[in-house]
This record gives sequence, structure tokens and C-alpha cells, in this order.
Amino acid sequence: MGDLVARSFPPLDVAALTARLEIPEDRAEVVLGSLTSAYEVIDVLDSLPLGETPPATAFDARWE
Amino acid sequence: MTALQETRLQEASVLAAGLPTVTEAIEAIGAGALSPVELTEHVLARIERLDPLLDSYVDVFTESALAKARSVQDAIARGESLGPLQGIPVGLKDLYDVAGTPTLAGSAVRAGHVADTDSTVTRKLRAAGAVITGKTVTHEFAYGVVSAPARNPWDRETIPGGSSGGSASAVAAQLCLAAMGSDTGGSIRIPAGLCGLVGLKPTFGRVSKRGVAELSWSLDHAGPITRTVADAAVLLQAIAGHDPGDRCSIDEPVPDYLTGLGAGIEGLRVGVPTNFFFDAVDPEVADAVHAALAVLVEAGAVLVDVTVPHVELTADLVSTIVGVEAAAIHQEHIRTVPEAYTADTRMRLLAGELISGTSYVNAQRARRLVVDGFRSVLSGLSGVDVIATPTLPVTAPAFGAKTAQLGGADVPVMAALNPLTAPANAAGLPALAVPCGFSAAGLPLSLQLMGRPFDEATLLVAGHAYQRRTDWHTRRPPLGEN
Amino acid sequence: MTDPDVQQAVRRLAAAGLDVDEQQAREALSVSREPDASKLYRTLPIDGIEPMIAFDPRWRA
Repeated sequence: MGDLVARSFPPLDVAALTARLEIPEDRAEVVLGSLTSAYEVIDVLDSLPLGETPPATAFDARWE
Repeated sequence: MTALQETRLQEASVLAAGLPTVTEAIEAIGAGALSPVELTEHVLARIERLDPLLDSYVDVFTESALAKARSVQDAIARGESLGPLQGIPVGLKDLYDVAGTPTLAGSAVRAGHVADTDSTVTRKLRAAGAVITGKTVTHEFAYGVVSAPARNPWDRETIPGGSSGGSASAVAAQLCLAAMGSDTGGSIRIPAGLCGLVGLKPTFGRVSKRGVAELSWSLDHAGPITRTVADAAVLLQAIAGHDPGDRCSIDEPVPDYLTGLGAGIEGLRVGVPTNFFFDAVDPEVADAVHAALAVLVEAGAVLVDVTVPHVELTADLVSTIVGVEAAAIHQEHIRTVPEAYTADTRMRLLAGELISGTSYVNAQRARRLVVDGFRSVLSGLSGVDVIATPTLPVTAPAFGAKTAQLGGADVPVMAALNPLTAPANAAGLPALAVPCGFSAAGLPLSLQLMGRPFDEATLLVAGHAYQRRTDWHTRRPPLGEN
Repeated sequence: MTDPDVQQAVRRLAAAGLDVDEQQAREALSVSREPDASKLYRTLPIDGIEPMIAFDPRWRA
């Protein structure tokens, strides 16, 4: 495994693979716009110094 | 004979038969027949002599352990008690923070780490008077079932299991009286089972995980590994309870696990699954578990055939949930210091990165099916009180083996060891591993009991009733001592 | 696992900021249950079931 920066691949192709979706050519531009926005949000989240902070959700084993 | 000489004689007799159990040691210390300093010195000497054969410890707290033992002894001399575990040597899996010492979690990624405060469990054990002997080997970040380099005292050419393998190896070899483990898919019960010990995974939320290095927030549990069920009850009593500092901790009252421990199991309804749990199990294991069920019947239990709906989903949903949660926990380090992880952990974390968000949420929805499946068996008028299964389908695999034989096929060691323990993690139910025999090769076999949420007490009563009628837990591994 | 599967894994990990070679992607896929599990979840009777994690708005220490 290399350094911090990974090779880049077309984000739309990768997103389609990840979601196991086929994206028709005529929808590609619109989806790419949304996807870029989503990646910007994820970049912001990834930059947060969360440390060992657990999620704000927790499993509860009780039945009631 | 002076009083001191008399005490020394009594100590020699207490320790000559091997290390006492927690329960026996509490009694002997309370009666003045065993000094905490003598006991701790004895344990430390055993660690020095035997741990080079087993590699169960990563760090031994010689000085602080002796200092604590002396303070307990001084308190006793003043007529005071430092708590219910006063003077009892306890090991901690190297995921539990101890202030001023590193928690390395079996990984080079944590090099240089020093905990600034005790984990809640560490603090509670200390407050109960326990002597912390040191840190035990864990599989890297508890993400596996091997726990190299630790060895199984029953056959050092086999693994102790994991991820709490160091804790189990140390307790089995009597290098401490009890040890703490953690359990995400079976990591307390698997090593307990492979090493002939009792392992208790309490209900999710029963024991605080604050200050315990995490693998999976919604599946991790903290719990004890001991030689007897009675010892597990004593440990649980000391560490159970709500911790506002742990988001997963649940504010449920902690019952008295000790007073009713010997109540017996007359009329106890024991569910024996007709699906999944016995489908791919070595015949030796199945025979031993059925023999254990017969012992429970002799003790008054009633066996009931049950079917646990959806339990076969467990492997997929646990793999999905652990994969994603572990990947999130290690998101930064897998990018900045990937070479610091072992190849095995790194590939599991990469696999976690490949799981989609929808799969994670769907796994947490499928989990509801498993929870409801157990609930349908353990509740209602026709419900059973506990479910009994094998803890593991196989005995301890060879050290260094990548696969184990299961149902005539070679399967990865992880898949061979955790299929029967992981369902209780998925459902969050309390589960107890109890030794129930030995294979022809001399390796331990184990019975698992699962119960209702926060009903550890019933499991403990049942396990204790079994141990009162059997002597598997009194046998000692062949370490060339005698 | 086919070569296209491995190449897809390389690309998906790259998109997540992880630069891996095909051998590492192959190893990751060898322990991954995701392809089968994600399909399995879509066949389960989980309509109307919320995830087994719940947000708790209470403040804790």
C-alpha cells in the first residue's frame, strides 16, 4: 500500500460500482453533480477529528 | 509454633494443590490462611517460570502488583477490608487501559500509546481490591481468533483461540486467578472453550467498555474468563453496572449474583436447538455436549427442543457490522500507517471499506430478525429459560494453521471457531462457556448457555449446578509441573 | 473472484482514498462477504424494520 494519495478513477464509475447501480448516459451529468456535492460532504466529515468518539447510536439488547 | 509460622504452613497447603480459584482464595484470605503477598509472589513466580512457554502476557506489573498486595495485607492486618476481590491476582487483556501504561492492543499501530486513565473495569477491579498482574496477549485489535504468539497450555502446538487468547492461556496455566477479555463474535467464549475455562459474555450494556480499545461499537462486550462459574459470578458482581461514560452502557439494576448461585436448577427449561447449532459440529463435541445436557437433566432441568429462527443470518450480518465499524474506527490509520497493521488485519479493514452503507443498515435490520428469533424461543409461556449449544464446533486448531477441519471440509480458522458464539453477539444476549470434557487428543470441549437479556443470574446458576456435578474444571494442563 | 472483480475493488478503494495493488484487493475480497451479503439482505423480510441502533437524545456525562 502506498502513500496518502490514492490513484484517481472517474468518480461516477466508482460510485456506480460501489452502489451496484447502472447509470444511463443521459443521467450521467446530473448524477455527477449530485455526487460531487456528496463527496464534498464526505470530505468534510472525513476531516473531523473524531478520535475514539463512538456513533450517536447504540444497540440496546432489551426486548421492551 | 508462632502465628507467622502457622500462617506460612497454611499457605503452603493452600498453594500446594495448585493455585486456588478466586472463590477459594477469597475464603482463604478472609480466614487468614493465605496472605495476599504470598499469593501474588506465587503467581509472579509462576509467570516468570511458565510464561516463556506460553507467551500469554505482553506486560507483567511486578512492582505495582506487589505494592497492591502489600497494601491489601496491611489493611487486613488493621482489620479492614479493601473489597470483595482483595488480594486476588487478575490479568487484563491488552485492550483495557491502565493509567500510566501502554495499551498496545496487539498492534504496532499503537506504539507509543500510554493510557492517561484507567478503564472503568480496571477502576472497579482495583476498587474491589484486585491485584492487577499485567496485560495479556490479544489478537491485533481483537480482530481475529488466533492471538499469536500465545499458546494453548493443554497442547502448546495448538492455539488458545482469541481474541482474548492471552487471558485464557494465563488463567488455564494459573498465571493469574482470573482475567478480563472482550467479545465481539466470541472472543471471550472461544478461548475459554479451547482452554477448558469458563467465559462469560454479559448482556450488551451490562459491563462498561469505557477505556477498552474498540473493534465494533455495537457488538463489543467486556467480560471475565475464570476457572469456575462461581468465580465468574464474583467477577461479574464487581464489574457490572451502569456507566454514564459509556454510550453502550445500560441503566439496569445489578442483582446479587452470589447469594442464589447454589439455588439449583430443578424445573429449569433448557432449550436444545434442532437447527443450526448442531449442524456442523465434530462428533466428539456433540457427544460431550449431549452428555452435559444429561447432567443438567440429572440436576432437575427439563430439555426442550427449540428452533431459533433466522440464526443462520448471523455470520453475514456480524461480518458486515464489524467490517464497517472497524473500518470507521481505523479509517485514519489504515490510510496513514497501513504498513503498521499485520497483513491479516489490513485485509479485513480493506474488506470493511468495500461494504456499502446500505448493507450496513440492512445488516442492522437483519439483526432484528435474529433478536426476535431468540426472543420467540426465550419468552412467553412456552419459552425456555436458557438455550444450550456447543461453544465451538471443533477443538483447538494447530498453531500457525490457516484452516481447520469442519464437517469434513477445510474452512478458515475464523469460520471454524466463531459460528456458534456470534449469534449471542448479534442478539446482545448473555452467554456462558463452561468446560464439558476433553477430546481423545486431550483438548478441552465446551458447553454454551445463552439466556435472556440481563439474566446472567440464570446462566450462572445453571453453569454452577453443572460444575457441582462434574470435575472438568478441576483438571490442570500438562505443563510439566507435578 | 474474477479479474474484473479485483479491478473494481482497486477502483472502489481508490475512491475511498486507499491506494492498493491488485494483490491487496484480491486478499481483501477473499475475506469479504459483501457481494453475497448485500444480495441476501435484499431478500429478507425486513420491510418496516428499523435498524437495531437507535439514537438517544438524552445527555450523559
